[in-house]
Amino acid sequence: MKTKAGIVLSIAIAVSVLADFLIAERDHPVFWWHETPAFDFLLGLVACVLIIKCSKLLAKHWLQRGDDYYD
Amino acid sequence: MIDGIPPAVIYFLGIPLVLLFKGKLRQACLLLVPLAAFFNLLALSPGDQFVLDYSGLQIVLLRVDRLSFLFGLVFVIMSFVSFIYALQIKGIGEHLAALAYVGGSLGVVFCGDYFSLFIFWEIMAISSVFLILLRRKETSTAVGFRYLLVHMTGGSLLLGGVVIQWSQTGSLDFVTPGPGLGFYLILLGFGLNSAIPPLHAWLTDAYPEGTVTGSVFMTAFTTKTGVYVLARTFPGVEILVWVGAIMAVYGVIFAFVVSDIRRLLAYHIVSQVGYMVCGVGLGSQMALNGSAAHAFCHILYKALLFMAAGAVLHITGRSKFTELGGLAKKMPWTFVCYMIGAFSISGVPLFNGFISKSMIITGAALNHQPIIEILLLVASVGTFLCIGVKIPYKVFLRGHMNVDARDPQWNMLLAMGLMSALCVIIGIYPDFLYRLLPFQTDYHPYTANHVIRTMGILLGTILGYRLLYKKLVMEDVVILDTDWLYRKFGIGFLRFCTDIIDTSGRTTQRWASAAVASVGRISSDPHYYFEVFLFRTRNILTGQALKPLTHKGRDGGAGEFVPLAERGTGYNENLYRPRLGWAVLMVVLVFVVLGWILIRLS
Repeated sequence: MKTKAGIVLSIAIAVSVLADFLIAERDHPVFWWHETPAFDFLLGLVACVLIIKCSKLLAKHWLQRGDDYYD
Repeated sequence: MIDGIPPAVIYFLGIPLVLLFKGKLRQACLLLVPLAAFFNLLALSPGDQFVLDYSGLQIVLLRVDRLSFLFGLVFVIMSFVSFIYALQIKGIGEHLAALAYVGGSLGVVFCGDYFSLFIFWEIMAISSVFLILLRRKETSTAVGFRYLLVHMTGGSLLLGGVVIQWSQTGSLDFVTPGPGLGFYLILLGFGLNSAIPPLHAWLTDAYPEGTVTGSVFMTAFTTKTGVYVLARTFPGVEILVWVGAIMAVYGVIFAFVVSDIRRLLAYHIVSQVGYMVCGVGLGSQMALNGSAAHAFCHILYKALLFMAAGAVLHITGRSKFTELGGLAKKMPWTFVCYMIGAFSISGVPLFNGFISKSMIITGAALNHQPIIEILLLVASVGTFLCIGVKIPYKVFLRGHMNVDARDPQWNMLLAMGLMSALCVIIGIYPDFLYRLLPFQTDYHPYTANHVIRTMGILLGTILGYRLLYKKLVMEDVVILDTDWLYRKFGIGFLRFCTDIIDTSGRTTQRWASAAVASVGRISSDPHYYFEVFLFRTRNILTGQALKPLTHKGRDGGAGEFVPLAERGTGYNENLYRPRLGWAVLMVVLVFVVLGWILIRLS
C-alpha cells in the first residue's frame, strides 16, 4: 500500500466504509447484512480471496491439464 | 391475420441482397437490413400478429408484446453495431451466416407457436456453426462439429418435448408446457441454449474458437434467446433459482483459471446468464424485469468486451494471457472501450450493468432468498475480479510484448464506440430501458445506500486481488469442464466400443474362415473324414489310445489308422458325377410336377 495506487485505494476504502457508517436510509432492508455497515466491503474482500483460492485449488488438484491435453 | 412484417423476414430477405452485391454496396446492404428491421420494429405495437394457416395448423410468425419487443429491439441494435464491426470482412460466408443467425433469433423471439420456434431454433444452430468453421483452423473445425452435435441434441430434446406437448394438448401454442415428460424435455432444450451447467460446455468450448466477428455475434443471440424462452414459458420455476445462482458462481470460478482472454469472457457469459435464469426462476415482477433488463444490458457490454478482445486478437494474433501485456499504450481506444465494458459487466455505478443486475439481486432479497442473494453478490465479486481487475492488469497495464500493436481500423473502433456509448447512456439514464420492461417499475438504482454498498464490494475485491496477485502465476493450461465427457471420455468410450466390435468381427471372421476351410477340406474327401470319425469312435469305445491322424508314416500296425487314400480306395469325386446328374434331373422333375400341381390348384 506504499505505492500511489495503494494510497488511492486506501483512501477510497476509508471513504467508502465511513460513508456506509454515516448512511441514514437503507433500501429494502430484508436481512441483517443490509443494515450492517461495511458488510459489503468485507464480503467483497472475503469473496475475492475465496474465489482466487478455491479456483486455484480446484485447478491444481483436479481440473488443470497441459495445454496439449486434447490434442 | 397480418398486422406487420416479422423482423426475421427482413434478415432472410437480406441474404439474396448481400449475395447480389459486392464491395461498398454489399456493406451498405449489411447496414440497411438492421436499419430496416429497426424501423419495422418501431412500426409494431403490442398485440400485432402475423398468422398463417397451414393445413389447420396456426403458424404464428409474429406476436408482439413488451417482452418480445424488448428482446427484438436489442437484437436489432446488436446486429447493426456488429455488422459495422464486421464491415472489413471481404468473404461473404460470415455475413450470410450472421444474417441467417440473427434472423433465426428474431424468429424465435417473435414466434407464437412451437413449430415455428423449432424451425427458427434449428436455423440459429446451423447458421451459427459457420461463424466458428469459417475461422478455418483445425481446432475451429473440431469445435464447430462438437458445437453442432450438442445443439442438434438440444434441438432433438426440444422436438421430443414439443411432440409430447402436441399429443397431450392438441395445441402448438408457445405457452408453458403441461406437466410431464414434455415439460422437462422442453426445459432441457431451452436450458442447453441458456448454457445451464452441465449443459454449458459448448459455449466455453466454441466462443473462443469463433472468428473475430463471429464470436461477437454469438455472444448475443443463442444464450439470450434461451433466457427469453425460459422467461416466457418457465417463470417462477423454483429449480431455476438455484440453477441460476450456482451457474453465476460456477462461471466466475472457472473463468479465473483459464488462460485465454475470450474463454474467460465466455465463462462470464455463463455467469451473467446465471443471473437472468435466477431472475426467471424467482418469477416476481421485479426479478423478471431484472432478467429482461440484464439480458438487454448484457448483450451490449458483452458484445463490447468480445469486440475489444477480438480487436486484440485481430491486431496481435494472440489471445492467451501469457502472450499478452502492456497493450494500453499501444491500443488506447481499445483499452478505453474495454474498460467501459468491464465497468458495465461489473455493475459499477453509471454503467448499464449497475442498473440491471441490482434488480435481480434485490428481487432475490425481496423473495426472502438469503443464500441466493449472497451467491449472486459473490458472483458479482468474481466478475469484477476477472474482467475489471485481472484482464486490465494482465493484458493492458502490466508487462510488455514485442508486437507492433495499434488500435484496429475505423469500423471496429466505431462499433466499440457505439456500444460504449449505449452502455454509458443506459447506465446514466436507466429510464430509457425501464420504460421498455415487461412490467411497470418504479425501481430507483441510484440511491446513496445502493451506490455505497456497490462501491464497498468493488473496493473489497480490488484489495483482495492486491493482497494475492503476486502469488498468481499465469500458465498455458487446459481446464477440464463437462466437455471432457464427450472430448475425452466419449472418444475413449467410442474407441472401446469400436475395439469390441472390431475384435468380435475379426474373431467371427476367423471362426467362419476356419469353418469354411473345414467344410472345404471335408468335402474334398468325405470318405476319409468319415473313416476318421469311425476310427475315433471305435478307439473311444474300445478304450484304445488315440493315434495321430496323418496320411504319412502309417505302418498299418494294431490300433493305427491307415487312410483309405493310402490303401488305394480313397474318395474320387469324378466317380459321383453321373449320379449327380441324375439327382439334378430328379430335382428338376420334382419342380416341374410341383409347378404343374400349383397351376392346377390356382
